[in-house]
Amino acid sequence: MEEQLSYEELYKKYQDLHLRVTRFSSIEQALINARDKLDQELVLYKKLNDFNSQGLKSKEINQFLKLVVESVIDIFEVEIGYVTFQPFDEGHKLISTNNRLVCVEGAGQNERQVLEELDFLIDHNIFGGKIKLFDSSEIIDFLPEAFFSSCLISKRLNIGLFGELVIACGIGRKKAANYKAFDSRSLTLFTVFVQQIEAYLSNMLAVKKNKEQLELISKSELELKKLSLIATRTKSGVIISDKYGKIEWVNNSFIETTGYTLEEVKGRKPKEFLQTDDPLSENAKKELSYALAQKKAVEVIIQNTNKTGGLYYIQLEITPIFNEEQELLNFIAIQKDISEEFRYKKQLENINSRFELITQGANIGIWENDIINHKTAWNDVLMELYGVRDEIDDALYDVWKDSIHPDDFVKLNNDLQELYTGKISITDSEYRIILKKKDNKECFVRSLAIAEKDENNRVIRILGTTVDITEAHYAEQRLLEKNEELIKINGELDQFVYSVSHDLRSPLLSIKGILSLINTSENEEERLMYLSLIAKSVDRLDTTVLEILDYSRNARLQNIITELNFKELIDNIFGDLAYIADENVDLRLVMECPEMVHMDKPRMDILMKNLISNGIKYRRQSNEVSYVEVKLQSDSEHFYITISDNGEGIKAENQEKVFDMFYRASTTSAGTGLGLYICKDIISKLNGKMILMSEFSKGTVIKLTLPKINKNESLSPN
Amino acid sequence: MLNFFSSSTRMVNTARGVQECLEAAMGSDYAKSDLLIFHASIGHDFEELVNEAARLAPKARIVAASCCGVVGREGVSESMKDIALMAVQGKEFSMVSCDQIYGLNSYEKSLDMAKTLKAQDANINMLYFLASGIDIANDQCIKAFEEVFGSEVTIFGATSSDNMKGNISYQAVDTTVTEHGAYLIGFSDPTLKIETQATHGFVAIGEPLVVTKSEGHIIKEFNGKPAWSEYLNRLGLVNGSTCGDTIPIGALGEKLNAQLAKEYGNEHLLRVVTKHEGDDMHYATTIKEGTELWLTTRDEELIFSEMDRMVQDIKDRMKGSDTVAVFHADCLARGRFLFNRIIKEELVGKMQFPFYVNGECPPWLGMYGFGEFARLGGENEYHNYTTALYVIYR
Repeated sequence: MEEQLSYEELYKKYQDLHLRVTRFSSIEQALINARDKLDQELVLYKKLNDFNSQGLKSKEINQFLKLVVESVIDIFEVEIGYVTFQPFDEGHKLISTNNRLVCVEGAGQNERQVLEELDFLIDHNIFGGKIKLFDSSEIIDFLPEAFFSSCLISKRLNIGLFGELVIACGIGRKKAANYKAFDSRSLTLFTVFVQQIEAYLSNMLAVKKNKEQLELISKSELELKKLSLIATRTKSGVIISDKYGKIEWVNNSFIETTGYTLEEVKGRKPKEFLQTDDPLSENAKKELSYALAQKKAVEVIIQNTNKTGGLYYIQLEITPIFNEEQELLNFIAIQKDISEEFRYKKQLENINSRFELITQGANIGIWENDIINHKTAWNDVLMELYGVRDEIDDALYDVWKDSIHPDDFVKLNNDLQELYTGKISITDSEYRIILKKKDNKECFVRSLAIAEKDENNRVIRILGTTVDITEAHYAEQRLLEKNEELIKINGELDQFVYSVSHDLRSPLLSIKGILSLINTSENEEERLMYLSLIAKSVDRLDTTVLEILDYSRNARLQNIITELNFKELIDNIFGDLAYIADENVDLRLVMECPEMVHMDKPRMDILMKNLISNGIKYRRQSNEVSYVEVKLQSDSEHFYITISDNGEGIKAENQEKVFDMFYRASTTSAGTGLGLYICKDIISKLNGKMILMSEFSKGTVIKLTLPKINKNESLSPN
Repeated sequence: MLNFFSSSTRMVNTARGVQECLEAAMGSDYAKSDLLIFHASIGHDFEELVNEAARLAPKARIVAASCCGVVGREGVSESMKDIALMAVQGKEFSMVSCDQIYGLNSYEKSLDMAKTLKAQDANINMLYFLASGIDIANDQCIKAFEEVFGSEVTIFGATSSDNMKGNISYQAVDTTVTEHGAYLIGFSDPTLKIETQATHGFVAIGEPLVVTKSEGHIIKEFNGKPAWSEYLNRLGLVNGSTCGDTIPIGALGEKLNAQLAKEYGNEHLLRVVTKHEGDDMHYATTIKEGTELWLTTRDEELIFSEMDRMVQDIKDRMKGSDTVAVFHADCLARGRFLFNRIIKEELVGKMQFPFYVNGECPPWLGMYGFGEFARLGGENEYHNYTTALYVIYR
């Protein structure tokens, strides 16, 4: 019979049932989780299996390690995986022998060990900054502070390389909560994973090593064949001797060069029958003996003799051959007949020596700048020129550069730049140098520079000569000056001859014409008029001749300083010129110093006559009263003579030309054009100065300044 | 006119994964894409993901969201290294995003986004919304969008997740990655139509938990007791259990009215709890005091039969039109935590095969996330623990 339950009991049972129903969900979920875990594990082993099959396909170690990195992330569902290689020679030997090898296997359970490991990895720069994965194109940022240490798991592998691999994976702090901490199952899986990697790597390395050895053997055989072929066919003589130096084998070239057969030389030492008493080979023989005794390689040039006694030079290269235990087995000698080269070298040395003598004798400086090796060389002549002795290469360049005259530097530098850059092949320059080691003496040099280029048209060397042309330069300069002077004189002479001929011939032609008129004229009055015209022409001819004489006198005669009465001199001139003046010309003399002066009387007479007569001749016709005034002043050192008039004056544009020979400023002039030219010449002879101030239609002032000279004292010309 | 292309992969190297997805989806023309929508598992670095995508397709707008696994044409994958892509070509879309969206400001943030989007294009006829699934009031988001676009606009999408731990989720827009962000994409291609529907197949058991104290989307008490402790007690879990422990078994069902229940094929709409602060539980929508919440248990037969029914309903509504693309949101608790692999793949096959075009699966982008959007009773609604399909067709 069923027990009758109370409401309370029924309600309690309902509550229990209710809880059991809802809690069934959580139990069911736990079962699902367990199933999921199994499912996951299956997936993991499947992934591991995939890794195995993909790993087997990897042919390159880098490709395989990249797969390792990706697989560790995928299989263990971590954020970061990495494989690093730590070479032993970077101080990591500790890792391979130390019992820390797998110390982090307890990661998750032993925080201290993990942290130690983390520190260790940071110390050794495995991460903490940049990590370079084996995939060389990938470098990732890795900051240790972002590392969630309790999720770190790593293992080291010694796979027989010169270092160890570290395979590790982990999770950053930020996402750590989304990942499961490693448990014993993860560690087991990781161990299996690493073991697989180890097996693959060992296998790959073994295969690689075998392959390399096979290649090496194949290569060695090939090399041996090649060497044998080379030794037999080379034009150089090859000798293989035992460790005592006794010949074991020689090649055909040796036989051809020496005339000995292999049978004749086998077992003999080369020096017994090949060496000569050549004094030039003495040092080489000593060097050879020493090197062979020390079992070292050596290279010498030595004279040998062949079977018939013929002499020849060889370049001999001997190499000792050792076995793996470093025991001497053989010597291999290669001898190249360089008799021809040796003879050419000797000839070249002789040529060089002669060339050096020539350059010394001709005082030609020779220099060379090796651009590739940055070396500069000068010959003795150049060293002597610059006053340097023991300067090294760089210093020579500085000496040269510092000595260039600043005004010539830019142009010279531009020329050399073009040469050094290959734009031009040769440059010929003249420039000044200031020799600091010779009291800053200024010299002129001429330098010829030639660029030498390689096969790529690149300038590799500059060669040049430098010649001191200071004396020649000054001589040339003097010659040029003289030449210019002569050209000027010649020009003046031409002009002089032309003008003189013209001025002398004109009155003569005039006379000739008038004479023919006289012959045809019967009228007495006409004849008288013609005669007066002839007289005028004669006067003009006479004036010209006199002026030429004045010019000639001034040019020829020395200065003669005598005491003279200046007032008397001027009065006489006024008197002589009175016939060309009329009542409208007022001739004045103003004396503001003593009358008696020391002057060159003949020159002063010509000078003053010319200047005063100009004032009279070129008076202005419209003047009521024309005047010419002469004023004499002096101080302790100079006389100051002023000649002024109120005549026609000279136009500004003509003022510079009036002192030229045969120049006539006035169309009305009856002068020869020599007057003022003679005045200028006289002033020059007297070391004086002459200033012309003139205004057209108003008048002219000429100021003379003459140095005071004592009697019989001579003047030095300007 | 918009065209869609999809692909998915599981690859450790994020950058290579992105490249593989682009190449698988569009061949060598990936640089011509205009919009790239990525779903990726939490194990990927999202900055690297979007930067690589931007490098490869510099003209494209890019969005990405974290999830627990992906579903593509290639099938299902639930690892830490999954990536799935829907690439879009065409100009008929607009996009807006925000950061720092939480349960308490969901409405304001959503309203701002909707207004901005509407200003960009007034012809938008469907909205793809994706936000962080941790601490958000999804009903408020829907309310804000409907205020701007009207209730006739279809909202589809999901909420991002991690691998069911409830710790963190990521959203990325172009090259900016956020943890509490959201993005809203408005499609305005007039030739396109969309059908959405969700199904779960869980059944309510026992007596309901009655919400006796709540604030917004936060439940403070069940039956007058501290909410979280009572929740764990009812689930038979020990104190200290996490959301990760409760999510697979702790679906909470809200009772539907009879009409909706008939359409839904279930009397309850399910909700998830993705966050708790002490005894305060963060519910996925606003929750009123007095609401009854039932614990539920899965019914595999119902799951399969309801899946068939949902697919058939959608197909009926499409009236023979060809599928252009399918977006798909699935609850992460319906992945490997609910079914074993074989059953799960069978379930996915059941949902994909009916939409094949000429014997090929259409472009398909699915994710296992925290929540799903789909219409119910003609209204936009937020769901949890469901499979939601968003079938775009023309």
